[in-house]
Amino acid sequence: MVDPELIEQCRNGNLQSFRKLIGISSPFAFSVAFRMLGDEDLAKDVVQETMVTIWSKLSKIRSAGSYKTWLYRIVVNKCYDQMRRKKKNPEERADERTWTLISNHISDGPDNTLENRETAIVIGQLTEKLSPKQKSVFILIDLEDMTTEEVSEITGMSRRNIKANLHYARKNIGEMIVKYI
Amino acid sequence: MDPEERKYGSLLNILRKSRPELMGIEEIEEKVLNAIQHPGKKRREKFNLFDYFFGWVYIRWVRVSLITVSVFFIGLFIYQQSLILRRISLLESQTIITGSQFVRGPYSGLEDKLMLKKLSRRNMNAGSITITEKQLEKFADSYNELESKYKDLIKIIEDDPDLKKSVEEKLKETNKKKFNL
Repeated sequence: MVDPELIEQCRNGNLQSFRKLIGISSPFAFSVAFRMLGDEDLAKDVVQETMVTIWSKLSKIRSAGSYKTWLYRIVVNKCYDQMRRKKKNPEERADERTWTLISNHISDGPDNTLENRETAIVIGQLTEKLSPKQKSVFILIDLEDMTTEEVSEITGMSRRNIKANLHYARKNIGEMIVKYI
Repeated sequence: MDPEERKYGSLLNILRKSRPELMGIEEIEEKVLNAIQHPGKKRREKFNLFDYFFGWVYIRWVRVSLITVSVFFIGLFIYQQSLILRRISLLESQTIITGSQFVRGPYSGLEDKLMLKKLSRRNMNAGSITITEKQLEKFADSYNELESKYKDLIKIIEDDPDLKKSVEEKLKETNKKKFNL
């Protein structure tokens, strides 16, 4: 994901290298943050805060190889914080049109892709009843294609716990698909 | 593969392919570098007094602990209230009955005698005797009568030196009580 030399340069306080690192890391961080929060501005804030945290704690990173895990861990934790705050002001529930939109995309075929706004609506609706942990496990494994080991390192959860959460998340989403689509 | 699984699979496929696009990455770079170079300014912008003082309420284990403690205190409160009510009802059963409320058969004086006998015992437990106003009046009358008789007796003894001497000797012999004349 990132050249170890670039991380070493950032560790030495090179801001130009860090700018490059932001350019490389931000899309990955944004993808996870946006899928978890369903809000572009909030996701951008999370990316921004994550990169500031990374700069301040770059010296603590053990090796360049663990950078990816470290980046995602910070993003996921910041998303949890945002989700907790968001809980106080829950969004309005999606209506029948959302399910029609999801249904249409499925029937359009597997090559179909969604815009950011549509992705947010679909993920938001499907993961509505999931806890933050279940949601993060589903997004990291099923959407970001990560392994259980990687997710375990990122979230700090045990593998068994991850599997249980993933099972519940898939089951819940499957039930919603059966019910509404 | 059943239709539900197919629907789930194709929806997941669409979501995987629809990777959220990060627009305005330069803006994020600028903001991050700005926050790094002027950390105080950024902190002031983000400073939230409520979160600063009460941010800890978002921590899951703190919330759980607070709920547990609240439930414990509510239980304790209920227990204390029931204890107080029980004590009040117990005290109500020990209320002093006034003479006017004391309706019984014809007055024989037996109760007064029993009461006097009880009072004459030295080692009485506090609160073990309930006395009516009428009984107290009787007790006072009896005491006054005894005192006047006692005075007369003292006067007779003092008037007769032989009798006085005889009584004193008798008292010394018996050594039951000190009797100062």
